[in-house]
Amino acid sequence: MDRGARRAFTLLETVVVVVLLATIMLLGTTTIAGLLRVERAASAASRRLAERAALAAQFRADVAASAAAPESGEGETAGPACLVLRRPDGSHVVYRWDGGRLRRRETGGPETGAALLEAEGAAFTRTTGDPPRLTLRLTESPGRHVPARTTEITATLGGDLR
Amino acid sequence: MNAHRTDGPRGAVPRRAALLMEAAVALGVLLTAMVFVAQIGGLSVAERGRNAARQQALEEAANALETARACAWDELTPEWAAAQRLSEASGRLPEGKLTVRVEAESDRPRTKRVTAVVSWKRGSQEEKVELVGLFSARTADVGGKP
Repeated sequence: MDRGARRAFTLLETVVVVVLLATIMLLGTTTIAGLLRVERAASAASRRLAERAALAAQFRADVAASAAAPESGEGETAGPACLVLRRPDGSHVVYRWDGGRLRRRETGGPETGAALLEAEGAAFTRTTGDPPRLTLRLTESPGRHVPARTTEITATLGGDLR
Repeated sequence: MNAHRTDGPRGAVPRRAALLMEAAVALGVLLTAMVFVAQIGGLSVAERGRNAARQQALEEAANALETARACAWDELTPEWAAAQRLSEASGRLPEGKLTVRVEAESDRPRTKRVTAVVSWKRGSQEEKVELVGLFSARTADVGGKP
C-alpha cells in the first residue's frame, strides 16, 4: 500500500526533463566543438608562426651565403615571383612562388615546399646598394574573418662573404 | 501526506522529481562550462594575436640588423640609426616604434654594437623585443710592437 502512495511523474514533468536533457546534450556538443575549434585554431597559428620563422631563417641564410642574384639560372628567370641566387661555388638556389606555395630548389636537389600553405602571395624585391638587400614580402590570410597580414623578410646579399 | 511519510522503511520523505532537479543542476554546470570555454577562446585569440605581433616585431628587428649588415662599417653612425623606420608591413604592431642604437664597444677595438628595439602597445602596457648585433671593421688597426 505504501508503494501505491508514491506519485508517478506527470507527463509534463517527463516532457520538461526530456527537453532539459536535449538542451544539455546540445550545449555539451557545442561546448566540445568549441573547445576543439579553439585548439585547432591555436595549433594552426602556432604551426604557421614556426613555419614563417623557419622560412625567414632559411631565406636569410641562403641570401647571406650567395654571391649574386642573377637574372636567370637553373632554367628560371628572376622576377617578382622568382628569386635566383648564385653561390660562390657556382651552384644555385631558386625560390619560386607558384600555385599558392613558395618553393625552394637547390642545384641538383629536389624541390621543397617552404611551408606557408595558406599564404596568399609572395614577392621578391631588390634594394639597390652595395651590397644589395633582398626582401621577401609575404601576404598571409590566417582565417576567413581575419584580415590578410604582410610580413617582410630582408636579407643582405653575400652578407656572410663580406 | 501520511502515505508519503511511511513510504521508506524509517518513514523518510519519498524522493520527488529528482530527475528534474538533476537535469537543472547539470544544465547550470554546463552553462558555467560554456562560459569558461568562451573565456578560453577569448584568451586563445588574444594570445595568438600577441604571438603574431611578437613574431612581426622580431622580423622587423632582424630586418634592421640586416640593413646594418648591408651598410659599410663607417656608415653605422647614430645618424644612420636615427633614420631607421619600421617597414610598411608592420601595421600589426599598434603604435609600433623602431629604435636603433649604434655604440662603440669599449673592450673590442673597431667594433660597433647595433641594438634594434621594436616596441608596441598591447592594451595599456608596452611590449618590446630587442636584437643586438656586433659589427666589426674589415681592416684592423695598425698595432703590435716593432
